[in-house]
Amino acid sequence: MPRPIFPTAERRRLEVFFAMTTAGFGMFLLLPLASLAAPSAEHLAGMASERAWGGLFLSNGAMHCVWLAVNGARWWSGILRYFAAMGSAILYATWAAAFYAYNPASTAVFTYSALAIGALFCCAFAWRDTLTAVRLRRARLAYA
Amino acid sequence: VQDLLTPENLPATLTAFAAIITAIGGGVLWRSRKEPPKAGTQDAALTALAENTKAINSLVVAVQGMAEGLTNQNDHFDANNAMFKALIPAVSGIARDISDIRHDMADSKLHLSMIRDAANRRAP
Repeated sequence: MPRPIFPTAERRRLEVFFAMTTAGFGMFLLLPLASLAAPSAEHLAGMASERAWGGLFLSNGAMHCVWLAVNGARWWSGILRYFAAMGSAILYATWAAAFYAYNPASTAVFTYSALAIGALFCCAFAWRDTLTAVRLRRARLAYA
Repeated sequence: VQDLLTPENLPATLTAFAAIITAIGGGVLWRSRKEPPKAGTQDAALTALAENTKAINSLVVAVQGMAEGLTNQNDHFDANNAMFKALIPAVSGIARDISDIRHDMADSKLHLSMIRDAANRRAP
């Protein structure tokens, strides 16, 4: 019987959504467009090129997607999910901070802050799964 | 580390690091999908359910075969009943004949006794 790509997706909808959104965001930045050409993105463009941002988001999102797909098959997958979610939270928070530095009243500040908070929730879920996996592993080793 | 990791190459380094972790994840995913599902997981439950469904389907086929066999057997019983019913008149006739034979035998016995008595009387 073919297994689904994300076997436990229904219990981790937010995380799957964030992982895919981050990867998609990176892919969008890697398109041959000038997404950071607006004056409001001057701080972001100053920090790194659009390609570099795209690479960061895409690799982070891909890492998150892959380890979500692995989830459960290896007990340490939750730890990597946690770091991937933390990475995306940092990236979104950096973008929120960069837009805030240009214009604190920008809607982008709210949008990227919300995305950063969502990614932080994913961190919490991944950490909770990690604790469960570690406890199960300990129990399995103790009764093996 | 400060010489190796500069603000210029930081994004590329982080991207490469994430890409390596992704590649490792891809390898783990490839291997893990070939492994049987762990006991107690949702995958294991789904696999067990699928196997149960397969077994039930086989059972349905077997029960259908059994039902068909029973129908055939029922037809045979019907044929046997018809045959037994057809035998009843013949068996009744045989019984009547046997009864007649018994009566005839009784008569014969009587005649034989009479012959025996007559023969005894005439004996020297």
